[in-house]
Amino acid sequence: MTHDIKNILSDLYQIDPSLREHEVKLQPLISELLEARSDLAINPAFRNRLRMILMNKIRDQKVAKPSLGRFFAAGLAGRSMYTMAGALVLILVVAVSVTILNRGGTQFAFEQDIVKSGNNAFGPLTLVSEGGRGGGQETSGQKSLDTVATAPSGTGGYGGGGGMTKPSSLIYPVPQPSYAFNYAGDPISLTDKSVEVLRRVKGVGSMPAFDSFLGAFDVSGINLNSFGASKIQNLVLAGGGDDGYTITIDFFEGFIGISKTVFDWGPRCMAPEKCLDNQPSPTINQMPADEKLINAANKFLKEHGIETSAYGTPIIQDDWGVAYEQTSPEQRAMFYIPDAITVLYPLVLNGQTVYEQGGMFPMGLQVQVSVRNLIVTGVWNMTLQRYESSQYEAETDSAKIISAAERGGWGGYVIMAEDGHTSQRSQVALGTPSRGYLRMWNYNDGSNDELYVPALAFPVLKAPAGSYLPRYIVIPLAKDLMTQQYPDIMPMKGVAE
Amino acid sequence: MNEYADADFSAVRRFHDGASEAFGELYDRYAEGIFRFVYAKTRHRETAEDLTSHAFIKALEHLPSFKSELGGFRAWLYRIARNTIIDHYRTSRPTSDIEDAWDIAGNSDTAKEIETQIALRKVEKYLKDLTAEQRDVVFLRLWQDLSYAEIAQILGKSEASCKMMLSRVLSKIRKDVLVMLLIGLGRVIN
Repeated sequence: MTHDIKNILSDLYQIDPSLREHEVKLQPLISELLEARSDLAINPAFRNRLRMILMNKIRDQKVAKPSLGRFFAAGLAGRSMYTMAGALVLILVVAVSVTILNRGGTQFAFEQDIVKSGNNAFGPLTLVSEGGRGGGQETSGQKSLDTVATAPSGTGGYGGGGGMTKPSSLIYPVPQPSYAFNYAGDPISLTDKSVEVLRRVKGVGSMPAFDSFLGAFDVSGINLNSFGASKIQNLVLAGGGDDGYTITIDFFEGFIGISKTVFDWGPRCMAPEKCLDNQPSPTINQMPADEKLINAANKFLKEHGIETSAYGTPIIQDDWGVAYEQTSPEQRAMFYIPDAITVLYPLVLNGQTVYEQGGMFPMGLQVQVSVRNLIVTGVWNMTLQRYESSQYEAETDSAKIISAAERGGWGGYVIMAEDGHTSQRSQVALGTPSRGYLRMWNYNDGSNDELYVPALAFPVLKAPAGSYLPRYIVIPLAKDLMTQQYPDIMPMKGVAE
Repeated sequence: MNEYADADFSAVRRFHDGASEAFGELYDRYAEGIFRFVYAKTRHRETAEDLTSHAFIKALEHLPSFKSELGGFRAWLYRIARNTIIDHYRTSRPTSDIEDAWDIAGNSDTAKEIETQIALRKVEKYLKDLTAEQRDVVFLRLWQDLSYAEIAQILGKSEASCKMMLSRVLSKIRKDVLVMLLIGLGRVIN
């Protein structure tokens, strides 16, 4: 503060030296003004909502942007049409795909959209289910967004009931870890009584345009209609030629994967001298700079109109590099340098990064770029970005959260200290956490809900040499989950005693 | 000096190149500051949120035409926010020459944000008699820690005149304090 004041005065003396005579009076005056500075924090909900509005606006402005439809058209160019019937099917499929996948489509869109549901609308967050839904309206994980959106607050169709396995029996025997996590950050204050859990609305379900067409279509004399009401669940479009890509669309999971058709690998490789599996792996000197890899990924996504507004600034998944650095210089010659590097676009929900349990990196859209020629060889985790949200009781006991982090994370390593040898373990410091989401899976009646639970991400400040630790220990803030995993969690100190 | 000037430049360039997520990066960096600036001028949370939204939407709409060589992004964004506030008060009170809430008696949102309001009230005696432009210099220099070059860009004035403005503000406040002290002393004597 004193430094600020001196700087401010120093600036002003240059233009008005007479002020110097009044320095004694001006100092407390400026100090008073500085102390009155508005430290009122922006409301996080408002901040996130506005971010969403802005991202949607950006999406709407992209009307002239190239689309995935062109991508499909380009990828399929030159493909042989074996039969007229096959051609008709393909044309229809591509035409409908283009319509659906374009940003103007209403069913398979990649912009983020969150629809609020009532409290506890996804049932208990127990992450297991053995028939535990007692009296609910919903019997399947595939329910419509409209149904959920109109669900009355506090219901959601789950009646609870028996069948849940005792938490203690869920813990698999795990090897004793060699790390002792210690929280070294600032005190944590958890005041929110509830957290907004998200569930991804996975698919578009039935595709009437496809279904009705296939139902009336004969393929080589086989009447598809005779099999009853057929639905397309997956669609694989294989592009040929050197520039071909195979596109896999899973309508029920709401997922698209793109992979380059590879002719220079394995049995499909016809020219042995060019086959990659006959060639040595790339050397460390061949590894392109991160910026080049990211530029290649950006260019590919842009050229093919792949929506990225739901994702943050891309990073390189350099886990191989971590392992390489930890390899002794004499063994590095034997180290396998990957042929392709993954550029990761972290998923951002409500302005916050999404993490996986135990993951080295945040989760998000992955673009694989070839080290040898900077060609994109695959795009993964391109998912529908439609979510339902529901309020759940929050865990407010920061000591419990910290203790869970010091045990290595929710469902992660369970460091039991009975052996009293914690001093022999590598000490790993955890820093002050940031807010984020933890992606978790809830298996229910044969379907698996993809949940995004508000969480605290504790950064691993410094991993011990030779370790392969996640960069964050992520603890969900939903009370259900904490109670399930740690029914009677006590601070580590207490356990050690 | 804005420590994020290079990062801003890079984000704007990426936005211009079609990487839409770059605007999210800029938003994440300045949402808090812009909100606080708007709140300081409006002293009402809901109004501040509303105007912050308008400011960012305007910024998004005009970012394609933003030219980094004409000045930094931060100052450009604050200028948009300031103009949004001025437009708001001029539209709601077209017959009055009002540019922010300090010119309106009893506009503070006392039911909420009590702590902030108490802090603002401590300096209200100094700020309420300043012009809106003078208050902006105080808010931007002292509360937002913007450089004089940025303030000059926001207010459309020279750096020297912005410095002079703060200098005069402080001189005026100092004299007002003196007057208040003398009045208080007079009361004690009488």
